[in-house]
Amino acid sequence: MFKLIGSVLIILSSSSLGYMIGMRYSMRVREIKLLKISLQMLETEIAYSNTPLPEALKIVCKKSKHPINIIFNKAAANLGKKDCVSVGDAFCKSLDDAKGMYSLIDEDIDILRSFGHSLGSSDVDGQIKSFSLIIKELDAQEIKAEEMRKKNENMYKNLGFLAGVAITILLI
Amino acid sequence: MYSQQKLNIDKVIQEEILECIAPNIKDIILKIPKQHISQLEEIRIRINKPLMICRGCQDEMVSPNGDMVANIKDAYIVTKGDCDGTLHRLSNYSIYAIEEELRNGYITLRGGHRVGIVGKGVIEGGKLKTLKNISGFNIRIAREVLGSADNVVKYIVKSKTSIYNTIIISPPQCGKTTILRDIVRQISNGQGKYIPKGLKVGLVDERSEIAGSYQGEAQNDVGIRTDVLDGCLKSSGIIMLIRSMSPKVVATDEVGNRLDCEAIYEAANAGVNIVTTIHGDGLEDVLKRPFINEVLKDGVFERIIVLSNRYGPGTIEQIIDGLTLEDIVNIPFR
Repeated sequence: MFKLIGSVLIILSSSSLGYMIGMRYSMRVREIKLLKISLQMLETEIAYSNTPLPEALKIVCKKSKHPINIIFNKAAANLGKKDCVSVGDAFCKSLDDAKGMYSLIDEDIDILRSFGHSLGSSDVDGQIKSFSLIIKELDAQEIKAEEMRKKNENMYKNLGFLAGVAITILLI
Repeated sequence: MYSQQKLNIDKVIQEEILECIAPNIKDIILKIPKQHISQLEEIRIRINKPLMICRGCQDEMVSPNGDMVANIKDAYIVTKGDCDGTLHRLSNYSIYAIEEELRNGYITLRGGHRVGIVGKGVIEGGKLKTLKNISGFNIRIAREVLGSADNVVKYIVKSKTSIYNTIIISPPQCGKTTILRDIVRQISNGQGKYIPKGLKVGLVDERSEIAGSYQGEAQNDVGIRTDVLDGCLKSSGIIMLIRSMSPKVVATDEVGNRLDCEAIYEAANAGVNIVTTIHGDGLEDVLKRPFINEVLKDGVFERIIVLSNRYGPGTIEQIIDGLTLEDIVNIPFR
């Protein structure tokens, strides 16, 4: 009886571990999509309403979904402190602060960092250009992330279950 | 005369100005002794040049410890980072939102303070598109001196319901805008026995210096019957106000070009009184200028007030009857 309960527990925990690892891939795809939507909202605020950045970030934060809203919320808060030397610093700091809350990988974050440094620091035309650049870069990242998801998501999910089964068989 | 100055200038500088300056410079200015800060007129930030403040119409270099120094070696040298930081803060981290202001070369801060900006102009289609590589700032601390026109108003009042067309002639930094602002306030609110009821005033504030409008709200007291047309060309603004707001008095700052003078004739013909100012060292100097000399010769302005710095900013040097060109007051007072 104990053996049976033990084996079920092992299989359950090992498959959920595999499931969680697999989920990270689809989470990343979802987050990149959300990020693109949020950035497009920010672009509208900047290019068409000329809203000052701290306010624009707050508006976008309210309209964005978790966990992307955390980045914008923290960036707006960092700007408000007035001791962040530039917008780039405030934006990068918010990315660091929110680390662990999102499934984006370093490659995605680096794109966001370099975008942060151009945010707010040019005229409207310049801003529109840097927004279209980051959207293009994120499109490419999304395609890559989607490929990785297809390749790895099911593999990790199955691997988790199978590893659980293998451990159980070995132990029995 | 300046006893009614209500502002606590330390607080004003801390809350309204230092928030907009790069942290390094902000720290230095906070170290400057209080008695100096209270006389502060301008803060000059120029890239790779010493940090300077102007007080009492003289500039002084500031050391990293906030002391006034005579030797350039002891002064704090402004870096590119300071300039960039100041620009970011001035624009509330949104350069794109101040494009229009950059084109004009200045930003108005909360409180009506003006920051002049220079840099490299970007030209597109023969017109200035924006400024880049910003290299210098001149932060002018606006001082609203309530009561600075107390001694002037009685000379420009014609009857209880009208005033003389008045022009104030003054060199820079002698308090021309300050006095104009207070004249506007007193005429608009009504002032004791001279204008008991107050008159409707239309104020064309082309450079946001008089009312100091920040996001549409006047930051300085320009009176309860004053309509402010902010950021609008004087020449077209005067006509717009006359047509739309039925003012009794139109006030504006620093007239001079042909279009301004045409608008002055138009206002005078429409039966509206004018109060305005012009840069210059006395009446003779202004009479040499084109356009405005004709306006003066035609006797449009019935009162000419000449300011100087003799006893500090806001000294009334002369008050002249514009029709006879005879002195009404010729002993300078403040």
